[in-house]
Amino acid sequence: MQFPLWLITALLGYLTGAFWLVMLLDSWPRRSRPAWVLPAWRGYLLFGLVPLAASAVWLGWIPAFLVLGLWAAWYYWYIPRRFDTWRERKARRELWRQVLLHEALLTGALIFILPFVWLVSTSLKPDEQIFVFPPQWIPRPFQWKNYPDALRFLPEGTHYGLTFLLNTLYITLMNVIGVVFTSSLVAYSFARLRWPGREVLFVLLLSTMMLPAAVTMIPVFLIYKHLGWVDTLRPLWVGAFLGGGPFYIFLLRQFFLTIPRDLEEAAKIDGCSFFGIYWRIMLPLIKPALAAIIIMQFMASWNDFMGPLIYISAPEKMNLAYALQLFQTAHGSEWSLLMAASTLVTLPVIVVFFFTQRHFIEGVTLTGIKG
Amino acid sequence: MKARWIWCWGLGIGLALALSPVAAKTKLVVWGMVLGEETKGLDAAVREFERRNPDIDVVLLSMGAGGMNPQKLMTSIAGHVPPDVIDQDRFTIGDWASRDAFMPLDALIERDGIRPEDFYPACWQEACYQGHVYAIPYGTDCRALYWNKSLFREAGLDPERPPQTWEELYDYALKLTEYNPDGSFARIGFIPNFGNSWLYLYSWQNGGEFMSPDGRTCTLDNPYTVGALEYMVSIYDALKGAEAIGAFQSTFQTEALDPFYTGKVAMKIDGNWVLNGIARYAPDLDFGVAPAPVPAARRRGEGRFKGEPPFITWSGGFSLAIPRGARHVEEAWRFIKWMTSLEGWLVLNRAQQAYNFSLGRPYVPNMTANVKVDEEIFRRFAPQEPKLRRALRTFLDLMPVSKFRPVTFVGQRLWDEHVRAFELAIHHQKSPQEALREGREKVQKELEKVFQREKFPLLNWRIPLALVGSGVVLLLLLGVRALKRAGPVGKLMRGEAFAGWLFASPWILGFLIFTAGPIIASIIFSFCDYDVLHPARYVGWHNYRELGRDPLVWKTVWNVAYLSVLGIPLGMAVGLGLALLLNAKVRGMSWYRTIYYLPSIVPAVANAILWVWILNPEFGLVNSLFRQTLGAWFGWEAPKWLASEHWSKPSLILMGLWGAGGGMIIWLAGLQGIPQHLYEAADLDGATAWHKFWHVTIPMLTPYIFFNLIMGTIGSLQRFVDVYIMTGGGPVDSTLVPVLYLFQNAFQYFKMGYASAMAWFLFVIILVLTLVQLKFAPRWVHYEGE
Repeated sequence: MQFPLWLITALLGYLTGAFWLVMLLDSWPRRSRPAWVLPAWRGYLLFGLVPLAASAVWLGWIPAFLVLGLWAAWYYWYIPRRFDTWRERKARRELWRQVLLHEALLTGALIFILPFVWLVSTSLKPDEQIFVFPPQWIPRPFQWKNYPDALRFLPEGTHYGLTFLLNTLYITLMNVIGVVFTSSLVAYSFARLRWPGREVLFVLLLSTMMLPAAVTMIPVFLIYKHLGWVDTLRPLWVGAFLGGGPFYIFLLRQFFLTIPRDLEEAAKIDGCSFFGIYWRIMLPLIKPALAAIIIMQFMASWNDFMGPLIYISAPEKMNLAYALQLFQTAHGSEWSLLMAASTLVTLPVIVVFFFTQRHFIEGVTLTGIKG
Repeated sequence: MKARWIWCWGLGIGLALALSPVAAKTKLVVWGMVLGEETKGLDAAVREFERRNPDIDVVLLSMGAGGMNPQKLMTSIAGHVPPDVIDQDRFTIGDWASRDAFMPLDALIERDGIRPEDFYPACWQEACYQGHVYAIPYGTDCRALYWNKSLFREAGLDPERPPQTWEELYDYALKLTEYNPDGSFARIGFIPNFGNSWLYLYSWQNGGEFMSPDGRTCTLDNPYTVGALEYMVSIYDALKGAEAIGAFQSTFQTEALDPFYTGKVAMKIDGNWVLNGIARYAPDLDFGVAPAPVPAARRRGEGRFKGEPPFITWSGGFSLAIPRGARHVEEAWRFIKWMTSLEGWLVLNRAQQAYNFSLGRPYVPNMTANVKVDEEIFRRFAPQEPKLRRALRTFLDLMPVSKFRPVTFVGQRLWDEHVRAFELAIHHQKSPQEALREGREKVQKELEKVFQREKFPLLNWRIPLALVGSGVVLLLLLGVRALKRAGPVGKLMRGEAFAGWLFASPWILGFLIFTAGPIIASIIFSFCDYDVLHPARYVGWHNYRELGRDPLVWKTVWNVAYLSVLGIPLGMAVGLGLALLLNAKVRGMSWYRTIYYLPSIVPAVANAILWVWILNPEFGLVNSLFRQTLGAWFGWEAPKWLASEHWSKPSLILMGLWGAGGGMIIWLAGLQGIPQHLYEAADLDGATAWHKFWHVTIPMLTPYIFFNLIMGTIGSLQRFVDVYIMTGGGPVDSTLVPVLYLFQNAFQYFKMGYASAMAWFLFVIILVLTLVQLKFAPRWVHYEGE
């Protein structure tokens, strides 16, 4: 298609879209509805189905939609100009603002969703449909076989990848448990208990946030090597039980500081121990922050790649992320299998995300950190 | 009640006993071999071994460890969990042996009477290092020219006469190349480094050598090798340059759609293993195999080539070795002996042949490192089809004049540097002479370092320990003094202090073990030469001085600066733009937010793999759309993205933008935190939307900009996973980022000292950048509370 032609088509397409959106959004109560806004069903008939069907017969589908868009745009742009009030004009402007916003948002959403479509589409294609130009978006036929095939090529003894999933779950679970309990305990101590050396250690803690992991990577490897833990899952989670990282501690400390002291004092008078205060009173109060931390740690350990890369050799101990990369090195040019495997690795995360969306976004907002 | 429990227990124990094998089998772990659909022969040989040795259970794993990714093998040996047998690329044996990573096999060889004379000299010698044998050669291969006779006919060339000299090869390459109407390649006659020849072949053909005979000097930039590289470059240049060829090559596929079978490439230099692929996927292909063309002077035996064979090739191949620290040495040796024996090879070939015949394909046996075995196999299993039989014979006849890559502990480095020099030269980043000189210098430095290692004293651990110890004592004293000054404390206070320390102890412990200790160790290592398997040697400031001189270190700094300076602001702008859009009040907003956020939760590895595919120069999503739109309208050429050194960094930035939704959420929080009355006040003053954005929104967002800037800088400097997966630092080091280079040095070359020095260099950069940002923050960051 020529560029000018494309440009015109695209613009007309947008207008058509705008028309449909106006119709859909048009939910003004009858009383305040301006005279020129047709009730929805008449609108659909007048601008929608009837002209669409008619022009489709004469012109074909794409021009039909374009004609439709033009017709609707003319009506909603030109007619009201002649007889509307100030109030109606304002309502109309608001309506069009909404429509344009929707169109921009939809366009953006399309761009953002396209790689996913590409991923799933490639994963279902037979080989000969992958390397064609222009690309074929819908595989024909759907080759579901790619998924079992991808699993079949995994190393023996990993039960078609189930082992990877279990390892990943185990690593994630241990990390989350470790981080939740130790980081909150340490944060409580830094926020609420008075002990000598606290300020000095806190500054130390903050300064370790700047230290790149690369500095400690090599000696830490040597430590685990001396413990004989190379090629076990332990190096991937033991660290979480030792405070779980300065960032989490800092975050929770700030959260603890916002809790009023009265609760604690009352508990202390009742003879509650420090641990009791932490466990029964403080912990329940910081649930939102804990949820955020759980989610962040979940993502981090689910996707851990550097850890297994350094420590894990046996396939029965690998996690999903690393297994996927190994799969790539072995089957780098078999794109359909590779995309099928990638889809399988991505899917659980997306499912979890949909169920925890609210906490997720709240958590990220709360902490101001990229997920 | 109790009785039932006892029953349950009894049943459980009984079951466990019944399920466990009577005598525990030895689990023999072999890396570098993997079973698949097409390896029925290997399968049969391994099963036969298990049948003859009922006490052994063989586990085969690929691991990519036998090939060019030595990181996994090294970490496993260093971590005392090595496999029992490793199928290792032979030319790296010297390297591993020099690090004491493999077991010398001399005693076992002598005990069981393995005869070196049975093997091709090139194969056996390649597995020896400093007089010891470290591996038993297994398979081998050699290289020759394949040519497509039908395409020769089409181009009006004599199909029975392949090019024999470099000059002819050059002419033929041009004659056989065809272009599409739009100027892109339809077919290339010959790509010098497509298939498997490398600079090694051309250099040897031209009389070049890579190491001096005593193994102490690298001669990568000798005039003959330079001449060979110049010859390779000349072909690339004559065919529109390396970048265009690279893009064409990125469309190549494997198996049935191999470019040689489909006629996209008319000639290639490749190994004998290709014959099997032809037999399987393209049995009707009209092709021939001949010795690879050589310089005309060698062909005629003139000048320095007097008395030299007219043609020449080189061999590689694998060999079976036992890593140091393997748990089942005796069983491993039995396995190696079986796999390299005539019997073992016969079992393998018989099964593989039967499998191929069952599918109606011809069978072409692979070559082994053992002369006698090869002759026997050719006699029994060589294919009956004349063209395949002739081709296999050509390869076997080339074996006596085959060269092998120099056995040296810098083998891997030499290989990497020769590849790098080749890439630099064909992309005209450097002249061949210069590129090779640079590579030679690097290899030579490695050589010097090892030869001079003994010069450096062993690290005396007492000195750093004493320093650290006195530091700790000093701190303790200070602490005690501070406590005393705090005055007497009550019983309640003491209880609280105790609880405080107790509760904080997980972090304190973690800090001491995983932060403070490693920091000190890392500082010490950065002054040492340390490869984990040998004791550390003190080298003073040597590592830091080398940092300054290593051009790759500066390249990583440039790369990361490029990625940050362009990527971070762009990412922030897109994130903010999306947030502004998503901050509007529109129905269905939660759906939009979800969609925009979704990309940032895709696992990093899956994300990287997906984008390699999306950015594929020929069939990727981006270029497909590009060529349908911009390319078609304005005739612009689609960028080669990750295949091009100019577009690889923009590719990474583009990929980052897809994940901008992650940052968007933060901006959204910031936007929603701006008090509404500010906008209302601006409205009263008659401000336009732009004014409001510029004078209200942006100033109120500065704390968020600042936060994102700091976190973005730190994150960008530590980038690793996606680059490791997507490009491995290429093409031509254009995406080599600091942590990746550090990782390569630490876990591939096992230069722990140098890597530690690099880590500290990185830390200093991060520190300086963060401090600078903090210093300038008050000038532009606006906190509402102030």
